[in-house]
Amino acid sequence: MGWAATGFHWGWSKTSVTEMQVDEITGLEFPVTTNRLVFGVEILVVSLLLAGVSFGASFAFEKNNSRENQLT
Amino acid sequence: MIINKFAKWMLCAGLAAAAGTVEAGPIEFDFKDPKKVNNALFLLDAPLESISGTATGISGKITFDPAKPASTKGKITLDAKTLHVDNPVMREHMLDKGWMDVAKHPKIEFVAEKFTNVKTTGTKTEAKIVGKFTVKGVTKKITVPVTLTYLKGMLAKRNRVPGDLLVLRSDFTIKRSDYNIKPGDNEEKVSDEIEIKLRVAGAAPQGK
Repeated sequence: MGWAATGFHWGWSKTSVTEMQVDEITGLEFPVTTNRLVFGVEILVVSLLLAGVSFGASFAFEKNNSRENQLT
Repeated sequence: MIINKFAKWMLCAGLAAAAGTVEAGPIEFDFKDPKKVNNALFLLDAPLESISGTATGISGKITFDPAKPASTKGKITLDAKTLHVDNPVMREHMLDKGWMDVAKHPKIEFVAEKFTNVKTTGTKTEAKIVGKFTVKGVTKKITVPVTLTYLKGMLAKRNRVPGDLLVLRSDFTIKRSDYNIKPGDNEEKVSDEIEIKLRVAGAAPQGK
């Protein structure tokens, strides 16, 4: 969700965003950097892995619970 | 009466010519820019996404003669601490000992020694500069293409001070292995070639 909310960025995470502007007099392009957190693809991968592990773990616990129910 | 008028006219013409003579000649442009418009962009190829960064700590002086652009000389210096990439971990690594070691090598310099293949059209001069490029304490003689644009009287519009501007653009490529920046290391992750785009403007206030 956080990855999507910060703009579906397919590169690495970054804590600032640099955009280019043009100086009217000289016509030179120059960078303007603003501090902004953008989640990268590594956050997406880690989130998906955690979600997968949690999903798998939920099955393991479900089986244990059903066995305990059968015994009692 | 007519002779008197002629003498006055000649005097005015002489003064104008003298003023013109004083104004002509080499002009020193200062590239220190507190507005941080002057910048260098750098780009390295990498598997997930290209590493692109900026640097704005530019200073230096260039002497330019509009009548003789081939005689241009000077030095542009970049404060290596201002090298910036948007990823904080990457930035830390880049400035650290292994890569740029900015604590030990705080300056990146280009000293222009000779202009060749000079072609001037109006206010624009295209040429190749032969000069010495210093990165991480290693100096190499390189030749880079450059475009100079002389903007006479335009400093007033930019800084509200009468004077001229000199805009310099140059795109060139260096190899990090030539400058002892992790030579041969991690080339599958970070390319050996570094594309550099220099975009700077120097100011020459009148009367200086």
